[in-house]
Amino acid sequence: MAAFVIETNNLTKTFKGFKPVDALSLQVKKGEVYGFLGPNGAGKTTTIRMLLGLIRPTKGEVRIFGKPLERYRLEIARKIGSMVETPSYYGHLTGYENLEITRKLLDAERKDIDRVLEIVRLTEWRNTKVKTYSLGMKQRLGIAQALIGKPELLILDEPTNGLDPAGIHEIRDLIVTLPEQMNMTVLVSSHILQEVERIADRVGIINHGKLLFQGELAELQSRSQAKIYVEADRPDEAARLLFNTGYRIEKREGALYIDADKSRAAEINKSLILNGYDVSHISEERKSLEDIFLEMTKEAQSV
Amino acid sequence: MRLPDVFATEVYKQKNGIMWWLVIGGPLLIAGLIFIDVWVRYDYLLTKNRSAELGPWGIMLGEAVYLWAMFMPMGITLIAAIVHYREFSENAWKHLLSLPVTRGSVYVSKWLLIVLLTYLAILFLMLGFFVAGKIIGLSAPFAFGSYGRYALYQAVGALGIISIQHWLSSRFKNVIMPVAIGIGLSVCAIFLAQSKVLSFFPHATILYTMPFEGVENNRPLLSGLIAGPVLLVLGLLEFRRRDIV
Repeated sequence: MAAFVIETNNLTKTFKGFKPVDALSLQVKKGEVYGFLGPNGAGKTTTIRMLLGLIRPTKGEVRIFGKPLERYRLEIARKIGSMVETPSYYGHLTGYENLEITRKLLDAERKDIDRVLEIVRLTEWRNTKVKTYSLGMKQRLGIAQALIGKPELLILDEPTNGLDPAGIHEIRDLIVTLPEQMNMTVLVSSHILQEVERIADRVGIINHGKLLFQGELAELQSRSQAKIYVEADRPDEAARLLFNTGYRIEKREGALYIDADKSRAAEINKSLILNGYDVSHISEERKSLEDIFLEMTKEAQSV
Repeated sequence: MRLPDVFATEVYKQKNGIMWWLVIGGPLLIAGLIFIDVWVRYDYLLTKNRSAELGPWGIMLGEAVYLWAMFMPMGITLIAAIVHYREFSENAWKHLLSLPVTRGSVYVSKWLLIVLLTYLAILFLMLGFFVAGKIIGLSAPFAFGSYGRYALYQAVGALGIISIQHWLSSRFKNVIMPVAIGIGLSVCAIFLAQSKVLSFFPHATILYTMPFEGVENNRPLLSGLIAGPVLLVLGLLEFRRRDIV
């Protein structure tokens, strides 16, 4: 078994002079939930469509389950469930009939339809025409279609797009439980970090078609250690005092940023005051992942 | 995935849709109009020249030909448009083509589906004529020979129209495009047919399906047998390379 379920090498797509995907090299490990992050228009959907063989790469290669997609698409597609952006369905058919089409093409067992209907809680609506479904139900039907045939790899592009908070929560729960229950690898894309933050083992951040970061969230988080933000009089001297007691300090705009978490705040405060420095403000500063994400995608934008 | 399975799902997709109104209702409507025409004007039609040679069933066929020659290409246009609209309207293409099916099997299945539906329509037209003739009480026995040839020429001539409309309908997300082109060509058929070369153009060939002497039945036969497969293959080659965005 190959080390990576999905691997792309220098994947590039050029459309009439513009490059939605530029030399992208992704690696998704077996059994993980991989969050594919980037602002709208970053190239996520184009990448995902290339992973599914819907779009031909201009350059580069996609390997899934260790095999080149171009040559083994049918074999690979049998083991992939996907939902790309807006749900795909036939409105004049019922939920059950829609799933029946997917089932037949996947050559899955008929009772699998009942199983996936149960998972997305659409059993009650199975014989209702899909055009009367709410957006959330259509989205859930899309996920049911992706789950038919017990795929080994699930690719979900913005699965919570357009859902209300309850729907988002529900789909998020589903994504978390799937890899555990069914031994799946999941790639889920989103333009909202919080959405992926709680469910992804690893993330890839993309902007302007380029991969900016790939790795565990903890690694990304470690790029922003907690700091204690202090405003005191005579900041230079105060900084020296703290430095001598063993803190790493950065001074910006007359305030001190100390590399320490908030458990040290009281101690720092005490030592400053006891040494005669008036402290007018002390608080913890922590860049959220969101801030890091925004910074990262913004930096890339200004280049 | 084998072609028959993909084809089976294509048929399944047309369940409880408007397709059947078109495929069954369309030909029956035309047959109904011809019924009224022949029923009301039967005595007059008998006085027209060639009427003795054509026989009562031939007279009815002669009345139908021009009307049907325009409506059939339009019908095929609409059938092809509906088949593809099902995929376009709710973004089903991307799901369908990411399943383990080849582009070729999907493209050919849809082509076969349009062929099947067209042939059903021809069958219902013939059935309609048969019933109409029986109700009017045409004196001669049903002219199996000429009606059979009429249906056969249509069936062959339709292939070229189907290959064109199939590809056009797959190409444009906006359903208006293939429909406008198809209906435009259907209306122009009568003008195309004036020219020796253009009368081989698929949409015009149905005008030459009358099984009467002096009608150049080679139009539908040659056009269908050449344009049908050739344009199917060309469309398929393009479809296989297409980016589904």
